[in-house]
Amino acid sequence: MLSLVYKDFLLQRGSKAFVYMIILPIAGALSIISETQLWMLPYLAGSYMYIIYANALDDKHRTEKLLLSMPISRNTIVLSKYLGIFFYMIAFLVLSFICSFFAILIIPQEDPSILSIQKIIETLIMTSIYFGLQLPLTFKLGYQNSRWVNYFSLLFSIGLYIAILKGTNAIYNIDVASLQEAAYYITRLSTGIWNLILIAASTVITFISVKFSIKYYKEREF
Amino acid sequence: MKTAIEINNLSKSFKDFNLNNISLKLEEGFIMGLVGQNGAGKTTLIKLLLGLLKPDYGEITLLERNFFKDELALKQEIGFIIDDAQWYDSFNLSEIIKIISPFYQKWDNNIFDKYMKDFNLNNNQKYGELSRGMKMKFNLAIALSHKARLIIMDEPTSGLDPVIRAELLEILQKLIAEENRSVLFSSHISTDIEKIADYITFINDGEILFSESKEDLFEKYILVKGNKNLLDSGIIKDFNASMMHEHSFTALSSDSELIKRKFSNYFDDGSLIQEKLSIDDIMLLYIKGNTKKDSSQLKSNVQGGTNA
Repeated sequence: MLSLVYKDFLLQRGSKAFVYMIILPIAGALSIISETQLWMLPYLAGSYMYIIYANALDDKHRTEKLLLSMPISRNTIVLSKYLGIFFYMIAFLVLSFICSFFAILIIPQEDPSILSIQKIIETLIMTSIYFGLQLPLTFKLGYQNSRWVNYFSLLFSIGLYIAILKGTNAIYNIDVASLQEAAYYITRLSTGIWNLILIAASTVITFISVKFSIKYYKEREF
Repeated sequence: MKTAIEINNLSKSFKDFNLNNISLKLEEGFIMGLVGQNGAGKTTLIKLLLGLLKPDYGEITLLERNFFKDELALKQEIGFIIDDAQWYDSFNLSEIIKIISPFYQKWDNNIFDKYMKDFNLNNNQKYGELSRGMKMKFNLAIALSHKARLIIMDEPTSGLDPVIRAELLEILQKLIAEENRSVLFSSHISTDIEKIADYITFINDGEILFSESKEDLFEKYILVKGNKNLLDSGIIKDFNASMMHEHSFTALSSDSELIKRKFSNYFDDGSLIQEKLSIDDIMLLYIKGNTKKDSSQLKSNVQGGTNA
């Protein structure tokens, strides 16, 4: 399976790789240190480009036919895509962390904001939501037929992220006692519990997404 | 003798094309040529054999194991060349091998290096820089390096110049003879099939018209040319397929003994002449000519004096 992940990373060579392996992590780092809360957008754009570029080249060369004619199960191909995204996420976070670290070294700040556990978990949950939607569609429809759906699911995920950011502030202004009570209860939860809830949610979403992807891919004909 | 391929009643339906009740058998150590015009169903059959398509019904047994039960284990022993699928142009050959070799339990780097040397290929070459012939050789080196017992190839010689085609066919023939491998080899270039195949399977419009050893085929089949006057005697009904020309007709029969015996007088007086048979002739007559099943149509064509 790892050799399929290696294949997808090798495919990223060239000018596009420069954009999402260097430019976007720098943008991510700048967003982190400036605390704009929109730091996840460069990440989503980068991961979207990573998977789209690999799928586009697979489609162009019809390489899936070669892989499926080899002793490789369809499950392995599906899981390798999820694993590849996970690796890309780690690479992006590490690069962003390094960038923000150097930025703080060059321009010292009083209360430096670098990559926190909270941000990593937010990244994890957004990854599982976006790719939880995108990958099953790609495995069902193929790259060509799912291009636009994938693009709109990226916009949907970005919209969802912004809505969540806005929503957490707006909820306090709603004049409904029960909602305020719920919000109050939620805010009383410790960060650790919150993180566990988010990790569990992310795991469940990914698990369901993998199940659907495998089901759809097993039905596909080439 | 062990069986390399056994297919029984295999069918697959699409919106505009059906593969109907395909049955064939290939014994280990032989080359089978799958011949037919473009769109006849050769690639569909090969895709079914590689698990890229799922059949509506029918059985596939490869190397004496049920394909649907042992697909992954069987693929360890199957090499393939697919005409319309490629590796990535930007990858060099060693990178491709790094990706695919872990999936083959019997992968042998020494064998791979030997074939790379024999085929004048270099590990540092980019796949996109290889000519079509070199790509075929590279794919063949992959198939041989994991010690495939069965090699399935879809149009491997298509688009190659005659010199490279001849070289590739020679390599194939040599490799099969050396290692007792089996090969299923599809092509619309019938001369390639005629050159190396032990068995010939002719597929047309999703149906197998015949699947025979090359020796039997050339022994059993007969191609004749005769004067159109002979048609009045009803001679044509003894032939499998025929084609009308302005003053003559060409006909094909799968029972040369019967034709020679029954029409010996016509052969003697020269009104019927036996022609040299080739797979091209068989394909042409079955595809473009009138076959037995549309003999009524043939009759009207003859009476009207039109070409079939």
